[in-house]
Amino acid sequence: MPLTNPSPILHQNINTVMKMKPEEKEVSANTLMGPPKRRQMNDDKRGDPMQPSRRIASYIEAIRQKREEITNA
Amino acid sequence: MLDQMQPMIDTAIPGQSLTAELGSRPWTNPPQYNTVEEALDYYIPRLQSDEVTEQLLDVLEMGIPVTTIANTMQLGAVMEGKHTIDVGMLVLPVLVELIMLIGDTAKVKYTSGLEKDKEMSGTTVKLALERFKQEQKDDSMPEETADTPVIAEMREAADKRTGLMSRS
Repeated sequence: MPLTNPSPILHQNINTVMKMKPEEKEVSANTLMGPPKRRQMNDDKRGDPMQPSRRIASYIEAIRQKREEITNA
Repeated sequence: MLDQMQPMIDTAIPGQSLTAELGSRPWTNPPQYNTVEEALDYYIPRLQSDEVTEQLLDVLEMGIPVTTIANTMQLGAVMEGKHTIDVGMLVLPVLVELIMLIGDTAKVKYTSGLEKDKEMSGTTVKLALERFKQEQKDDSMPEETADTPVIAEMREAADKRTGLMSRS
């Protein structure tokens, strides 16, 4: 069956992204004992607030806050 | 399995996109809005306008799910060449939330379309089957009823021990 309305799936995905907030890690020096530079860069990319999914999650959070304010008022 | 074997007749046939002049359709041209932010700048003022809000609330009151409305809006914009499908997919959850916000503001009861399907779980079916079997068993079991006069007489006669071997 072809997917006609992807909204519920997308909504669920964004909810998952919102739950997985990036942890603030200590920036390790690029020493011999530190992680390889390539891996470090990938980790940075995953938690990048400018990633589309993160940006959308932040918009949704703002709208949800407004909704809660309205419903609780 | 059966679904996979059926021909998909609701999709475009190969080469269908080449039946019109390239660029003659809005979706074959570069999109008007390239980012999510640009697309939202297009949607938000439209959703906030009185005319659209009234229509939207009417549709919500009719019981059309929010997800369906958001998807229709997004698809329409893709067809008009406003943004790409990719941007549409990213904008979709924001649109859903925005429509729900409008509904909440107007205190309209709406169906979000995000509720989990109320399918009967395996355990529910199993439980119902077990109950049905139990009921069938109960129906087939003979009920204990009071003896009719004839049966009572026969029992009495059988109880009267007579003959040589009977104990006195």
